[in-house]
Amino acid sequence: MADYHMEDLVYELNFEGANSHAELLMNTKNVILINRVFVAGVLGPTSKTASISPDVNDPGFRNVTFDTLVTAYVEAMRGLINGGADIILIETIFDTLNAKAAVFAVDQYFETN
Amino acid sequence: MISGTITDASGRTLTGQTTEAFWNSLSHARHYRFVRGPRQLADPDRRPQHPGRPGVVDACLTLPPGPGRGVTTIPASHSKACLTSISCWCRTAITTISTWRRCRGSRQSFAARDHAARQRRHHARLRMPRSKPKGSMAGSRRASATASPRRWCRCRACRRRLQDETRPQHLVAVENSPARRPVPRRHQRRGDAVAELDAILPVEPFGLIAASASRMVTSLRAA
Repeated sequence: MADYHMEDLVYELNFEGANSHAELLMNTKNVILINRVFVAGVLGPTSKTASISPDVNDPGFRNVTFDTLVTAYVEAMRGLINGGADIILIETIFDTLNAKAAVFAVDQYFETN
Repeated sequence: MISGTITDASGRTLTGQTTEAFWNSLSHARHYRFVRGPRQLADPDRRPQHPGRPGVVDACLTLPPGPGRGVTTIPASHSKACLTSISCWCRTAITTISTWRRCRGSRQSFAARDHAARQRRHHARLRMPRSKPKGSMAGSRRASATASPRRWCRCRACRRRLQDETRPQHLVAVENSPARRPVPRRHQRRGDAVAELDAILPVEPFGLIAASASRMVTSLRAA
């Protein structure tokens, strides 16, 4: 979202995305569907990697830090959970450090809430 | 749930980690399910890097359909055989096979979908295996998970296959040798004399009865 300067809309987009599916599930009359279907909220890997430098001339350069990733993940996850997501899916992780930041954000969120 | 991406044919992520390294880095998160695409299973050359093989991932494994495609990622022509080999090959962790959700309606795809449903019902009874971790990490909470990874399924086919796999081969050779063939049950119960009587009786039953009757008459006359 930072590529398009839409960081402020992260919570709103995640909330509406999860809430639309949760409302759809609650409005159905199929009891089996209600009991067996869960809404999975996706935490994306972001467009930035914390392990690889985007600058080939500077291998030590990073355009994102661990704490920045944790903050972004917590904000996105807050919208998903408030919208009614049952499962958090840490999705398509190509960088293990990003995945660790997401796992840390999940633990941090559930410890504080 | 955690999803990983293997980006190249050598089975590594973008940052160069193998599947085992990726799993060991994140296994302390105590997540419920590990998600991987089925495309890697469709290619036999890439199966050695898949986390579904035994002893790599000790969590449930989900194989979702391909991303945003109108057709399936595995050709329907060999899909049934592919699924069978998948179920036999990585039978430790698969709990959900939803590969054929987006198939077009050909006969083969429907057969593959039904086969997938049967496999899903079959593997729903599988127990989640617990493998010994390859290495210990700081903060790892799964260091003591060392239960037997052999207890998978209780169905007759799996038990028979497991029995054949775990039985030592030299004992199998001894059991199948002619000297160790099982004795028929009727020979175990009866002795040799009874066996001989069985052999005589059908031949001369009336002769034996006549002999015993004449012996009885002789004894009566003597008395």
